[in-house]
Amino acid sequence: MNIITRLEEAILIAIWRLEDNAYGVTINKQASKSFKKKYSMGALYFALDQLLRKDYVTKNVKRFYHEKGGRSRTYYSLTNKGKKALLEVKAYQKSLWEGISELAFDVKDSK
Amino acid sequence: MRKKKDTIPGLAAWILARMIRDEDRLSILSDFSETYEELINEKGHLEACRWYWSQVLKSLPLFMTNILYWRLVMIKNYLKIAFRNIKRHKGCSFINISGLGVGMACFILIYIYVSHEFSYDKFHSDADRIYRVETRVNYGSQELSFSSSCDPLISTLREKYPEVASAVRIRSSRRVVIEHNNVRFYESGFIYTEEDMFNIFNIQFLKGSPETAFNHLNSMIISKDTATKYFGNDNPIGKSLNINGNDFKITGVVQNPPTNTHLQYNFITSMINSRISPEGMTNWANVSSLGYIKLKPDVIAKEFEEKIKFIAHEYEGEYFKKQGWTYTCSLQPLIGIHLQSVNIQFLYILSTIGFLILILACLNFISLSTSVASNRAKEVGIRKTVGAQPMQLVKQFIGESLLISIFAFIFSILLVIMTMPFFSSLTGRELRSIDLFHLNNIIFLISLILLTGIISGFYPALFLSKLKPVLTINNRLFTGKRKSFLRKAFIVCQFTVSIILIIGTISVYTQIDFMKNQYLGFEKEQKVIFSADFNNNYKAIKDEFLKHPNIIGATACYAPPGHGYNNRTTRVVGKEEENWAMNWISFDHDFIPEYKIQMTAGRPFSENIITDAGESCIINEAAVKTLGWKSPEEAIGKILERGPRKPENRRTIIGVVKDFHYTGLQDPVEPLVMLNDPQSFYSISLTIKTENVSETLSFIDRKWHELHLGDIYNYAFLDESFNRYYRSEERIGRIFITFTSLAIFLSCLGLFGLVYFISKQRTKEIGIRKVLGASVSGITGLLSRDLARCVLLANIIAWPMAYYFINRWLQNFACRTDLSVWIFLLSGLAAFCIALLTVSYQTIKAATANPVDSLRYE
Repeated sequence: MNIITRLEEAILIAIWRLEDNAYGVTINKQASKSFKKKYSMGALYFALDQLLRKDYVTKNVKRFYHEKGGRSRTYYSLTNKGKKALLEVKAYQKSLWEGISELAFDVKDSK
Repeated sequence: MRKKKDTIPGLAAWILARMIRDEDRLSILSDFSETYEELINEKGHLEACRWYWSQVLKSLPLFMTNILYWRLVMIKNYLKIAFRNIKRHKGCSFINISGLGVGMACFILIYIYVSHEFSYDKFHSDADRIYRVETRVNYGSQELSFSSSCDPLISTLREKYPEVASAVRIRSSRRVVIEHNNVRFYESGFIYTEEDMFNIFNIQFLKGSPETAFNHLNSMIISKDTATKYFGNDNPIGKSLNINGNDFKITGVVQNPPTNTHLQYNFITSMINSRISPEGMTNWANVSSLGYIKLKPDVIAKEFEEKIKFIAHEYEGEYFKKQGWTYTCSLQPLIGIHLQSVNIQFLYILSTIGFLILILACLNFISLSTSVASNRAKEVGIRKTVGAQPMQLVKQFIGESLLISIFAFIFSILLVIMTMPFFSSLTGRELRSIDLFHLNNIIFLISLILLTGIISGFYPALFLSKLKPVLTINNRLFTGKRKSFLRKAFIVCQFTVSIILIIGTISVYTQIDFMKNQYLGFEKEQKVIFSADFNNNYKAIKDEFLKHPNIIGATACYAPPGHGYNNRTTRVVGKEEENWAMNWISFDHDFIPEYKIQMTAGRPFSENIITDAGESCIINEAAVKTLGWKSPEEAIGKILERGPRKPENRRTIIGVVKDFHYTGLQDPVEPLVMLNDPQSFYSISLTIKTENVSETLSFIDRKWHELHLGDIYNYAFLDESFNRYYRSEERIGRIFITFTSLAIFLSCLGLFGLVYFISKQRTKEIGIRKVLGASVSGITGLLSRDLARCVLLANIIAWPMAYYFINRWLQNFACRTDLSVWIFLLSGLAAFCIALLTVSYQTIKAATANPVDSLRYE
């Protein structure tokens, strides 16, 4: 199993959720919602590049010539390999936590 | 509503754009500005701006890592392709690397030599404040410059002028005899000086100290090498050496003077030991010691020089007025002293040659790379089709040429290290390749690699990056006149340089040959010369030698021609107001017949006329002219006086001889006064027969010891010792010949490349011609025709340039050969033949190829 970072995991899940509307801005919003730690935009794009290299996502550049001031957007979507990786991560975490959720344990607030 | 362009922080966006790869740039910038706009609407302009900046700055490291990652992938690919190409085209890579390597090696060697020449004396701390005091004396009718100054001048400068930090006098003995453990040695580099020397010059004491060095009379400091020579590993301090019959006690050992200083010493002792008479120490006219001063830091040398210009007249005005002399001082910066003695023009010529050779090598690379471009054309086509930018390709190919230039550099360093001993002897300097790796030179070496790589890679890179993908696949690249024109221009350049160098070499050697064979005005063949202690008994000693049947003549003299003379102030009695500097040499009566010198007036010295020895003299025609007499006959009977005005210093002129070159050929013949003073005979010259030379020489050796004629027997043949005068010219000749052959080698490499290219390009044409019945010789001629035109053009360009430079060089000589047309024609022909030979392999191979093979493909 390939180990992916937490940020990569968050990004992959964000892309999955966003479906057809996954590009830089939306991925950032979605991922930062579930990912508490602050990260920079550079980190986001770096992670996206890494995922591209691992073939977990594909990208598709769309240019808007007339609307939105001639901007361009790179839309990302999950590949099958990416989906499989995400599921594997999920299963792995589940196996890690197995049995623990039933135990009654307290998290004491130290403050 | 404001336009969004006005609000985005421009600088931040610019930085961001630089950090992103081309393909992602637009989307990422769009993402940024979209978020930015949302933030403006939510939190206002200021907050949005802060966000934009902080995001850009925070992202920088990651963006950079990303970009480096992608670059690295590309660089890995480029390197792989480059190494593959080097391996696949072994011949081409070999020519490129060896050509560039040879060129770079030449450049490095010349750089080492020239920078060594310019580094003289710069290692002294405050070298820019040290000056040599030089003097110039106008004797009324004649002016002479001296690099030396007089003792009272230096002591006055030291005592009376606050601008001078320290001043020192240095006298040197040309040759001393050292006796150690009953063995005698001749040594040079013996100097007399004062303690201030250690304040002015950097002299590092290994043993002893400057303070105690001259504590005793007859104390002496020696250099490290001298210490090792005489005492081995023992401590020399306190031991003594016998020098010219006096014991000197060693009080210190100093580091050997480096090779790049004009002031060489092995023995240093105090001025007190030089035994100059007190009058000599106070006589301003006695210009015989070297004087060095170090100025205080804030003194302006020009002003100070102006101030001391007439210093002699301030202190000794009466005397100079009475003599009618003008005595001026000047300051020679220490750093410039060595460069005065070398031919600086030659250094410039050499640097130019070094640079030209490097350029020649680069031209080769360019012409070869573009010639074999067809090998790379398909690669370029594919890369372009896949999306490579022209700039990327330029970078790739320049990178490749840098790689080649690094290989060439490694090769050249090996060459430099291997050829260093040869080059040292070629230039006559002790050069070490280890100096090259000095910190100062690292920048030079790196820039050499970069320069070579970029010069040679730039054009091929541009050429290749401009190729049209469609044409590369079609194999129809190399048509059009422009490109072949450029390559031909390179060949013309290379051959112009080579031909100029060939003409230069031949001219230098003709000049040397001319000087060696020029009749000097006397017979110099078969003369054995050596110094001898006659003890006023020269006639008997001569007779002893003449007993041998193979010794047919003997003459005693002060010094044989070319071995020294006395320069003395000379006056004509009756016209005492005019002073002349003339060279005086003593010869016995046999000299003129023995050396076959022609008389133009009067008579030679005679053994039977008593007054000839001590009262008469013979002058040369140059002296007649200098003294202003109309004819040689007019000079007869006049009386000359030298040095102090005393009757015993007067000589009556009894004859005039035709000018003969008693110094060498570079200089015009100077006025000469020959006299016949037996007490100043120090040498003997024997004329020997050509038979049994070795037997005769051993007889002379035996006799010399039998008669106790001196300490060390050291003979020479006059003609050989005369040839010594042409050593510096021979050195120039040898350096020329070396670099000329290298330039020719490089030009031939380039030519080889060109012909390879042409024959490849015309394979099909040749095939068709052969099918139609062309002969091998016809096709060879066809292929060589272009080349012939190039070499012819190179000749036409080279001749006037070579003529100009060589004519200027020849102006340095008093006697010079004429530049004959033959030299030019011969050089041109030689270049032509070499060129033809180089290409003949390729052309004949192309011409004899079977047309079936060349026409079959496609």
